[in-house]
Amino acid sequence: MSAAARNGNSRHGVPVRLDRLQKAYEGTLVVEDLSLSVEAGAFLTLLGPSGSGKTTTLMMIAGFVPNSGGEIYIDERPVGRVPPERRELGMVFQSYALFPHMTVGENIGFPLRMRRRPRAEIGRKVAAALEMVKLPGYEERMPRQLSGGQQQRVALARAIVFEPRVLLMDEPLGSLDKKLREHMQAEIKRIQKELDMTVIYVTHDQQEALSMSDQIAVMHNGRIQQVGPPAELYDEPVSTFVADFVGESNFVSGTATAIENDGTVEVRHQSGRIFRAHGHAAVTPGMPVVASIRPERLVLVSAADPGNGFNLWTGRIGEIVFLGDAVRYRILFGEVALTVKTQDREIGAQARIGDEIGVRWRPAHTALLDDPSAL
Amino acid sequence: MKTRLEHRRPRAHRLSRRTLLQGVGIGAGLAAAGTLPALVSRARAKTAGKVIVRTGGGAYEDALRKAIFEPFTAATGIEVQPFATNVAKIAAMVEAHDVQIDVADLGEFTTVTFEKRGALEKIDRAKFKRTNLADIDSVTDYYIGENTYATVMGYNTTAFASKHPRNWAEFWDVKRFPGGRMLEDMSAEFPNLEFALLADGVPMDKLYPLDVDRAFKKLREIRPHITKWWTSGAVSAQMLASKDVVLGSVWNGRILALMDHKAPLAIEWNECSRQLQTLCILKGAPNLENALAYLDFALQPKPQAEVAKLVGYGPTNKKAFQFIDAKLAARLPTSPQHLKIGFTTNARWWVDHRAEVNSKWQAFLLGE
Amino acid sequence: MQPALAPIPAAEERLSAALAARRGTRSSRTILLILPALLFLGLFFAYPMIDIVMRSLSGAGGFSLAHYGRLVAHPIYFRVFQITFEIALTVTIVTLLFGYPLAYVLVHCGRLAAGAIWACILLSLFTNILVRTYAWMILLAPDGVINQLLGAVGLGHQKLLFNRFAVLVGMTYALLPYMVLTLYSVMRGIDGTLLQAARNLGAGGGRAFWHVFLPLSLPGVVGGSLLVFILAVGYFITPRLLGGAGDQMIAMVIEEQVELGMDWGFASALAILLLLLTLAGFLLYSRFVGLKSLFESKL
Repeated sequence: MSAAARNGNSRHGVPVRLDRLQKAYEGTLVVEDLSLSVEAGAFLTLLGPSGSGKTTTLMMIAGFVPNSGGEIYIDERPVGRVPPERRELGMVFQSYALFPHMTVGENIGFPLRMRRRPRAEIGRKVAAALEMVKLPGYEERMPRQLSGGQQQRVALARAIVFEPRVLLMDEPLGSLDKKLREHMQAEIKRIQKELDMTVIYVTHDQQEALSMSDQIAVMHNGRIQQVGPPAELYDEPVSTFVADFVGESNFVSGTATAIENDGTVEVRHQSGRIFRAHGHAAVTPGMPVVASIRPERLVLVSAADPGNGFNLWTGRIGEIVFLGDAVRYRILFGEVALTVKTQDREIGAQARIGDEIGVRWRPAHTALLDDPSAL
Repeated sequence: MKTRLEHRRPRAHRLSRRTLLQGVGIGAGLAAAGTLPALVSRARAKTAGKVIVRTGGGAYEDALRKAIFEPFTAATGIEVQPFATNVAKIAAMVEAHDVQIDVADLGEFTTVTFEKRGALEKIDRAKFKRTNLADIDSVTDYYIGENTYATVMGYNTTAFASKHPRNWAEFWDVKRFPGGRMLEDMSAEFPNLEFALLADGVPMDKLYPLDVDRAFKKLREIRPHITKWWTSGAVSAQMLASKDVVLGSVWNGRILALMDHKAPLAIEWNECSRQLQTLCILKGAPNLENALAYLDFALQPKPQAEVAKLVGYGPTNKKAFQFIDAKLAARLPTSPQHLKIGFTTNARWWVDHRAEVNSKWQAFLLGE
Repeated sequence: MQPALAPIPAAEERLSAALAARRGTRSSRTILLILPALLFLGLFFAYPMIDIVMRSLSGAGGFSLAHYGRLVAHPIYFRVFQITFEIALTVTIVTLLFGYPLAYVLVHCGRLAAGAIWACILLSLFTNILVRTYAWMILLAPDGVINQLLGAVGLGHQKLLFNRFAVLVGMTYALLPYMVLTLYSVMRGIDGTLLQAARNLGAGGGRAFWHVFLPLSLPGVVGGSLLVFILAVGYFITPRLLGGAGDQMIAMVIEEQVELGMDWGFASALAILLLLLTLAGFLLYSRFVGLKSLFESKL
């Protein structure tokens, strides 16, 4: 603990590091060999489907679930054997976990009361925290009198009022409707910036993860699949799981036939169609590969002149779905199909199902995955 | 197939009645009520009618069935339907003018209470053909004594091997006869005021009307040595058996049962009090003639002797002892040798004074 | 005072307005739904109650206050009421002291242990009260198992039977299941994440219990205590069999008046007084503690 943190004036997040963390329930590993570093003041999201071990990991960090192996470091101090009340972590629960028998003010003041702060200071800090979450003057309300969104804000205020160095959030926006959720995402980011906290955020909502995080760790079956900034995860997924879970993707398998000077890989699909993909260090000619192409990277063109440096396949329109902000096409190429998502409604206005159409995309937008065998 | 069914019917009938009484559930009660009329009319058509007799249930009812019900039906063709119920239920029937029983087998205190409330049918003595009522002392206009049990002094023979208290004055003598004692609580039946007065020197034939205050004064003397005022026959037996007490008043049937199981206990019959079990006919009885026939049959010497053999109650018909051997007579409250040394509880006095005694008894229990 | 969240309260208002509009048809349906229960209560509860009141107010020649006069003339019956409430209150406190930890363990222990504890609790509930009480008579007897154990550890023989102690043991045993069942159902409904939240916010295990679990379990404490107290006030078999002369409870007197004395008027007067005193206690309680705590199992 830094000197500043000890005297309560710290407004800086601290790093969190997980080192080969394990959790076994009745012989089954639900979190396996998990190592992860979160920089001071960073916003890291654990993203994964239910059962992926992300919540268990968060519970281990909070201290509610003892870890079976490995260690947790907060500010480089091992806390694996420290009881939850002494870990000094803020936490927002999925169910908010507001104490139903206490007023909003008592709820938010609770962590300060537990720390035996003077009454005047508690009152002042509670008011400030309510101000921070934009609920000034709500001290005397009971939690049941508040809407879901307001309860969420109170839960957030309670988690930050004692100025924790790290804030844990377990699907905090899961039960809010879409509009409010987007609003709260921005609020959380704003408060994180203001207080400069390290945030570890758990969600299964990839959109939420992409929009809020500095770093995303995608989890699957108790393991981390990939860690990186949102754009990297999106553009360069290392596995079909990541590519599929984060955003939407087309997967095309084939065999690497040649590697060009700039590293671009030429791939031949078993139908004989050829495309070029962004370089990948591990690929050598003759290897089976899988490429991931985002639907919005595909462009529909008339079959004529595609221009240089692009992949171009010609197929037929199988399906047209109007999404509002975009149109999704399913283009058939024999036994392969590609999904195309475009905001260009000009094409859609003329296109009919069964029409012949060209699909064009850049090799740079064609990521070769690490695990072709997984497809 | 048909005979088997008819054989079963009365039994099922009795069971459903009992279910109703035990208050298991309204559903069961309604079901029983629904099936009753059909069963009753069927039974009436087949026999010379029936008579419904209230008993206390249990072993006593089993004895009555063997000694009286079955021979009665054989002799008269009248079917006996036992109706096991508590006193409160009969009182409720009387109050609601919905009497479903003919003959009630009740303690004298209860019978007198019903008599005073005008709930009993006057007994037509001219109708008695089998029983000579002159052989029975306890014949009144509204009820006749059926049998007798006694409250006796029971003691532990290991505690009092050589000498034991032979009267209630000696029961009060805790120096000569040390050891834990018990006496009857009012919630069992009667508090033992008579015994206290006997201990205080009142002659047995001058007990009534009881000098209640004098009795309580005497009871206060023995109070510190009373382990418990027994609140039911079962409790008194339990206390004697587990040596909670070595001396106490107890119903003769209870202590005899323990003695038959080789418990180290004995009875001092001297100054025992007798309580009468009576037969009466309820006003509005649905089968009045059959009820009288039942009384006439049940009070004969032979059935009385049979009941005595089976459950140890003393017959009221003196001729019954012609059928009783000396060994059994020694166990019965009404055998000639015991009649002389005991007294009969005056149920009429108790009916008139029970409320007054009750208030004093509560105060006495709480140390006043 | 609703910054940045305007859409939500507005939507809620619209919703509640819509609900209010439907309330009219709903209330008549509600009456239909509770009608059978009302009829049942009227027939099998209100009518007998009225009958008891009438009985207590009638004497030989019609209306009479004689039964209440008898009560006033003999203050000893008030002493019996006092003992009744003393015993009932003690039993309530003891069942609470035993029942609270038991229910707490039941909520938090493994399935196997919980099954075993439930079996014990429910077995006692399903055993006939006479059988249970006689079992205690045998256990507490001068040469019973408990006295033998006391003798073996050098505490000598104690008088365990036919006194207040035996009554409390017997009644606590009989009424404990009601306390545990009530507490359990309330504790079961307490959200476990609230305790996690308390721990996370800096409360140790003890303080999390004190500030969060205990207050949230209070409706169970109040409900269980009330249930046990009201049941205890009406007990007569256990005190009659296990108690001594000083352990007179009012239901014993009432039962004696009904079964032996056949004085139903006086019995009714005693029953009415018991009801009134219990209600008075209930009102006093609600005056100082508040009825809300009673009926709000979830705050």
